[in-house]
Amino acid sequence: MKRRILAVLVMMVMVSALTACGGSDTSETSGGASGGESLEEAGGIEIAYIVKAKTDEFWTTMEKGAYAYAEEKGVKLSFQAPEKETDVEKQVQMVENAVNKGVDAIILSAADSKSLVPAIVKANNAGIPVILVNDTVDDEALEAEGGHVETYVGIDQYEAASLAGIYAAKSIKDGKVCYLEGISGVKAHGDRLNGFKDQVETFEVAASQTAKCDRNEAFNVMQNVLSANPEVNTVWAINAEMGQGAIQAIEQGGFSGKVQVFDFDASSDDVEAIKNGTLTGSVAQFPDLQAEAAIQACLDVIDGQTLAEHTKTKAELITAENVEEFGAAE
Amino acid sequence: MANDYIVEMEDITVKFPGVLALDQVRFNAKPGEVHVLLGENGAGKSTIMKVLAGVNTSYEGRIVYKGEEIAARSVEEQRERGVSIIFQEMNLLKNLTVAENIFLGRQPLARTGIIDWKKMNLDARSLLDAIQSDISEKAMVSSLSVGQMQMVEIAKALSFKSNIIIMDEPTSALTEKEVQALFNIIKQLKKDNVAIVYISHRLEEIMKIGDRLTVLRDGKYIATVNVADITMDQMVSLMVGREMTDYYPKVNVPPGDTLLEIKNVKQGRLLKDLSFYARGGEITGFYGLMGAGRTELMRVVFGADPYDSGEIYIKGKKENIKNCEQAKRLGLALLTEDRKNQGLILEFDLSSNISLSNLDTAMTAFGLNAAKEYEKNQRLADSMNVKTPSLKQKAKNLSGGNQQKVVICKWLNADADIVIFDEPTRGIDVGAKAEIYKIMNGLKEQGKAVIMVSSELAECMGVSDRIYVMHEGEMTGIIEGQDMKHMTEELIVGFATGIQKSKGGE
Amino acid sequence: MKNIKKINLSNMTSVIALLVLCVAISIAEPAFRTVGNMINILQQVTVIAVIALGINVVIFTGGIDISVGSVVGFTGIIMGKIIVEKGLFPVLGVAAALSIGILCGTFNGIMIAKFKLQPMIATLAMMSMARGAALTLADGQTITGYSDGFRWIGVGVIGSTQIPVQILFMILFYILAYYLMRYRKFGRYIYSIGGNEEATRLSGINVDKYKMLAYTISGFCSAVASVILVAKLNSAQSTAGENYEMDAIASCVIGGTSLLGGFGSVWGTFVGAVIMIVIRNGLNLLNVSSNLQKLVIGVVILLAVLADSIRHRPGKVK
Repeated sequence: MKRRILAVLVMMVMVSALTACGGSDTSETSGGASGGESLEEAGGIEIAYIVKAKTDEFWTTMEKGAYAYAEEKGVKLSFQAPEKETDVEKQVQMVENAVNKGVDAIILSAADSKSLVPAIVKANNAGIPVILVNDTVDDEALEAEGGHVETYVGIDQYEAASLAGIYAAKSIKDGKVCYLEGISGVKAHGDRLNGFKDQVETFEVAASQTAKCDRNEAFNVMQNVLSANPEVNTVWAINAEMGQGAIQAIEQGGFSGKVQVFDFDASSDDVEAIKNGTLTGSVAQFPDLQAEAAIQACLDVIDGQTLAEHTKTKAELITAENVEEFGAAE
Repeated sequence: MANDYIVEMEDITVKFPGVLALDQVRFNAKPGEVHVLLGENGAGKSTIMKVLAGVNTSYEGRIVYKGEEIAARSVEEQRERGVSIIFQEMNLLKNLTVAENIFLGRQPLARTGIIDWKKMNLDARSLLDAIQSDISEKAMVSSLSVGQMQMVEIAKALSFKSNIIIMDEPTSALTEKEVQALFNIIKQLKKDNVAIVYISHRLEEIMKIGDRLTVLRDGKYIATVNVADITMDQMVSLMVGREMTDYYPKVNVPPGDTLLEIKNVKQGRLLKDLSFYARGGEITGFYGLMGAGRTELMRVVFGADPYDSGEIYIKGKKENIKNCEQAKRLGLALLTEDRKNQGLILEFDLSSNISLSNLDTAMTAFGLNAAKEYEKNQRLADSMNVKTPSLKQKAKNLSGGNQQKVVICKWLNADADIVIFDEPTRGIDVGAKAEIYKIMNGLKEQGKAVIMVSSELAECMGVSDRIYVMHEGEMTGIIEGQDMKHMTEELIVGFATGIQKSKGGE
Repeated sequence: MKNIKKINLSNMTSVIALLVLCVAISIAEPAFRTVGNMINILQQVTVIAVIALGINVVIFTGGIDISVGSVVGFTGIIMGKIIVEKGLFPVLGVAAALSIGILCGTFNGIMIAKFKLQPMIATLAMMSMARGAALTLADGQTITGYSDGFRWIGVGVIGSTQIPVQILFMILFYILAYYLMRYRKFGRYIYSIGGNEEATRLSGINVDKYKMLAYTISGFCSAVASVILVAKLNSAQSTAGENYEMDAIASCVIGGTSLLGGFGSVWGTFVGAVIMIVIRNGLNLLNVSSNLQKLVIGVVILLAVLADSIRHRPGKVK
């Protein structure tokens, strides 16, 4: 019996310790959390920023930008995400918890374009504005449930992808292309794929497969595709991790210099790769700017403004020509 | 005083949850003597030796070893000091060879630091030869019989060059030949001034090999005597605290119908063509040496193992027994040889164990009724005289004899008509043995068919109404009717060793 | 009835732990102790609790079933295909899902009981097969758009009490399971098989049959959990249920179920599941990173298993 009590005590200490250091995730002190109700009076606005995962550099860049802007504006921010992009139920629970906590606004990058709709509706019913960032939800599904979002902050995925497609169409003759797709059900990934594809209709498609946004999987897929189709000369990966994986497979397979790789997100690995020539181009989305715009949108809504349906943010194709400036700005 | 004794233990007290296992017990041993520890199960003989060997480290009292007061804190420490113990339950690793087991943790190393397999095997061989064992040092322990494993344990203890060797029921699974070999080794050890502590129930053996004898009863010290000065009956009285007159109680019951008959049962190479029958109101004994196939035969009858060909008739009707559930439904019960691992769920309480064979008795319209179940089981346990503070005790906490009684309760709960007992009194003291014979007689009187597989000749001869003798998968002898009056030990052993085959046997 | 006594003891430890946890979190974050949050927690626990229920029975027999997460995904897609794509009655979809769940479970059971495969290996194979089936059937997609009638299981409330249907459903399921394990022979046999399979067999009990049934139940529970999940999210993803088997097993272990078999309780597992979700919910409200949550849960599992091994330390008596 003694040992059981000890075990329980240890657990209690652990949880208390963690709640104390858990404050590191927020920009302000969590000591003020006990006065949750009094925050409103103090003029502090609390925003829950829920994304799909933190495993990609894209999200960590966004997180930094978000906290920086939040501090500037004196806003209390909580940047949350499940461990994996595919853990939809967890993300739904996070939204539900935020609603229950009574935050002033929710910024959401939906893990699944349809499954998050019921949670959005819950937020609507509680009078909490919802702003989408980077990933959209399915409009039909949203309408069917009677849900509504204030605005979608992000690039036009299709338009941004076509920047790369246009470049590829101009610079590559007799293109034979391999597409590395993303996660089905995520509209953004589909738009990126098509944005590029529609610009290169003359290219022959050697393969089109998903590597689930994962670097390792992309490596394997690329390796397999190259063995079956050694004449592939173009690769379009809808995110940076997959682009990097493809590049490694190309190097290892001895195809360096023979394949032009384009990807999305312009991560720091991408910047290096463009500099040393293994990556031809990458579409930068400036996630930190997206975060700023999203937070600003929240503040505007709380202020009483109505927002446009799509708050468009900047997208740019980075190639050898402008990589130096881009790298510096990073 | 320190000169005479190699070890003196005084006021040793050991407490287990709810049980006072040892109550200020004393014990001493002289170098070069065989000191026997005698007592019923639960008396504390194993417990006090486990204290000396460093297995049981929570004890109170004094131990003086080689003139110095010591604290026995671990098996390794005690072994270093020269105290070795050979357990009743084997401590060998089944997936290693004999030699590897003997030298576990102290394999001889070559100069390069790698194990010197050749030397290890040679050393093991000489140890085995010293005890006249023909076991191969390279054999896998998993392939050995229980008796052979015991031999390996002895060889291992010898390799430690101990001053005291404690043997806990060493002969319980040995053949006559192996027992003799063991005694020779013991005599040799005595000459080398090794003290042997010999825990045993076998009174004839004690008379042969023992020098002094200490009796414990219910955790208390009773007496120490010279073996030469005491008779077997007196030993039993000291153990049990009462006069024992009837070792093998026999009741006369007219035999009933043939409840079980098997014809020409074969199984692989183990069972070669066996037939027998058992009638209600009789105890049918099965005698044989290790490897005779008796246990395997009974497992086939009970549906625990499959058989290749042959016929089984239950109450006159031919049945194709495929599993234990079917056998139980047909009225069979099997009390396995290994009661701890196959007869009981050691981690569960007694009540659950007893109910296992038949939960219907505890059912009501709503479902299992705890109170009803407990009450029924308590009555059974009381009728069997199971010694336990409560049925909520875990089965693993009971002594061997009481565990066996619980298994019997389980099968009484199932109300079987044909009850097979496989080595029912192995490892059980005289007092509890008599109780079990009484139980078997009781079943006899109820008209049930009782089958008893036993390796104790005296028991078989004393308790059975008919005896089958088996040797290496064949039925070599049947003794029944008038022949029961004239049978001799030599006759039966002759059948068991395959030297003789009776006319009726096959 | 030592088993039952033991159950009460282990229940107590996990309940105490749960209470302590709730108190600690409430102090740090008052949003935790609102009725709304309590309901949230119970709602968030339904899927895992139902899966854990099924896996618990399997663990009692001394086995394990890691295919449950994949079965959730697979049965979800089946419902999607039937109800949304083919437009048939939701009842048919649910019936199909439950049947598939039973089928998967029984398949596992046959592999393990009759063909003597190791449970970990057999259910690992099923885990792969079921997930592959889900991904292939749905082409990796998500199927959404279920009728209100169907969704009532996941989002509906009972009249004026406002108690969500799924919570009531979960409780009823648990009551049923408790009755089965405590008051029917089935439950006793399951525990006994975990306690000592050979001794149980030699006591005349058809061990193969009951082992198989345990896995069938596990598959069935996964299917039921899937129904709730799809109704809640209004979508069936082919990746649904990934890693849920780990959470389910953790719930059982925290609740006092021994992975060796033979010990544990139905309600203990419920408490274990609630503890898991409370930790997740509490730390979420406290803005603790998701990744740190995994660390905390890992520590809790360790403590629970340690407590379990101390309780069952083999005593040397004789």
